Amino acid sequence: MYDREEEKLASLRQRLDTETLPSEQADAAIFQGMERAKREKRLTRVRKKRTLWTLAAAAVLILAFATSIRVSPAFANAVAVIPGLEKFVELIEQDKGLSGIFKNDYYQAIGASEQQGNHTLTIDGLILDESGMNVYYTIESSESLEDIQVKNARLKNTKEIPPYSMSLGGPHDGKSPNRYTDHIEFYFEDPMVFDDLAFGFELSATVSGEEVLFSVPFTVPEDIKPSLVFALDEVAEIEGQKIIIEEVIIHPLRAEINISLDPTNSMKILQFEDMRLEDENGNVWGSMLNGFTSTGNLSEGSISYLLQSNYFEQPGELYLRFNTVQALPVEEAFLVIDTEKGELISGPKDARFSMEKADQKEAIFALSGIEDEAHRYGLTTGIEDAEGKRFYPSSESMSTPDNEIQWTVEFGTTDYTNPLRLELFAYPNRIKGDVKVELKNPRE
Amino acid sequence: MDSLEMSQRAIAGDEEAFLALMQLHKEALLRTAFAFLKDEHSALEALQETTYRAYMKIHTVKNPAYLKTWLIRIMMNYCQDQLKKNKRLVMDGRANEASTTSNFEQLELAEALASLNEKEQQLIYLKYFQDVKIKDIAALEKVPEGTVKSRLHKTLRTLRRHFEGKGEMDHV
Repeated sequence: MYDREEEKLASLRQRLDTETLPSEQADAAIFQGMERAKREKRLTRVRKKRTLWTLAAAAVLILAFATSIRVSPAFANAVAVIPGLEKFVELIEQDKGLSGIFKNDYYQAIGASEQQGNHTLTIDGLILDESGMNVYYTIESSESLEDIQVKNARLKNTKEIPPYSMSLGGPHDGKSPNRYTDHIEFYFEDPMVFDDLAFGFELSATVSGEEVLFSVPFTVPEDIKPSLVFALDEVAEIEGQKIIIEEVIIHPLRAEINISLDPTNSMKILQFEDMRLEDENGNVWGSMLNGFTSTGNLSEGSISYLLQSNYFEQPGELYLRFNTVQALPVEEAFLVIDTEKGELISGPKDARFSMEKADQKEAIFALSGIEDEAHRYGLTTGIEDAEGKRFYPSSESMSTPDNEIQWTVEFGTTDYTNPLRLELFAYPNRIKGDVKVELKNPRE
Repeated sequence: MDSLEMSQRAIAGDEEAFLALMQLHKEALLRTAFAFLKDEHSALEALQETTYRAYMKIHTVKNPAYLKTWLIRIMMNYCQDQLKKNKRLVMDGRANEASTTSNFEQLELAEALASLNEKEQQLIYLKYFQDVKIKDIAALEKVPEGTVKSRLHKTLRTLRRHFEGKGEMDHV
């Protein structure tokens, strides 16, 4: 019936099929597309984990604000003469690990820069250890940088750097419109030792809506200091729950406490509220860090907590200590909800806890009567639907109307099957004990 | 490794298999780009974007036998989006870079496709340029075969009007 049209199409096809193809460029295009996708997948993974940290970080930040900030003038002056570091004085003074690094000249000045159009990025300096790299940098421009948004950053080395996490992009400090200073913390999930100390630092940002991409090669002038590893494998017990302290690694930038849980525990451990490093007199040498506080996931059985480091200052004796742990009976440590019926099927057996509202897109939970408690943690981590499909909430926010905490969990998808199972991230139900493990210095 | 096995492994997340798969279908994908877009530069960009999108989504493919068609459809969707974008650019009065380096060989095809709506373009392309069977198109679109057939007839009718309007049918 349509023979003539079909013939015409066949002849058009023939012409298309004889077209010579740019085969080599095609391979390059495939390669580039794949690299871009791989990079992005890596970042989404990191971003997913970061939501957890952000929640925990919020909790820690509150504590940080509660303690008044006192900076010794001598120290402040010493740090302030290092270019780009003026705004970090408080941050450094508050973090024992960082102040030790500066007092011991472990900060390395770099001064490498690159110009892109009107903008110049200079790497002022950095701190590198096996756990990560802090890069302190300044962008100067003939244009205003007040609306700058740092989008992404990347480290390159001849050695492949496995997926890492980072924190970046503080807002402009408003002091000088043509100058932006910031630092980026790269955190390697597994300790890294680099043979080749030549690196590339890439940073993308938008200034007045336009994208700028910097790529600055630099070499770390000095070898990095090795981390101290304390292999412990000690089993601690709090109210009958077994917590295995596998090892403590003290890096210059941070102390990493690797913990796993006994799968036969009757309670699920959610958060360690007061994990710290102490000396023999009970002085705290390292408490929780601002920013990244943990990696890994307790619900998968193991986690690394990150504390301030005492790398450069060793007390006579050093202990890892914690007393207060958030935990719930295993069968109560998750929420089961039906978003169609708006029903909380199961969860913590706690009269104060309720589901206020739920629809396809989000659910609101509330905990009432908590006037005495400062509970500043997020509520959930991952979600699993009735068919075992796992996803992460697209966002979770917390508000505290009168004597109540409310969490709004947005699912970010409506493509799931009820009921949903939401893993709890934290919950103000505490078990108490006194765990104190001595760290014997391997250097002695 | 045959192409089905390659597809299965790529869906399961095997990077090498994915790369091999892209190599295998590179020609078909590029020709698709040439059918819709007008120059080599845009076609290569389209291939890059298709690779990117495919890598991000390949784990969602249910039937490995349809992988090639799945890739072609990603490419066609991208090309059609680009065409729409270019159209907007032209209407904005801004220069349209892509059209300055037109590939005259394929202009006729591009014009013929332009007489159809996007769905019809994809249908014609899959059926007559990639030899995808009506049965498979029906399975992919989750519609009965009869529906595909009647859509095809309607589309050919539109094309007939297009070719007749151009007075070109006599040359075939």
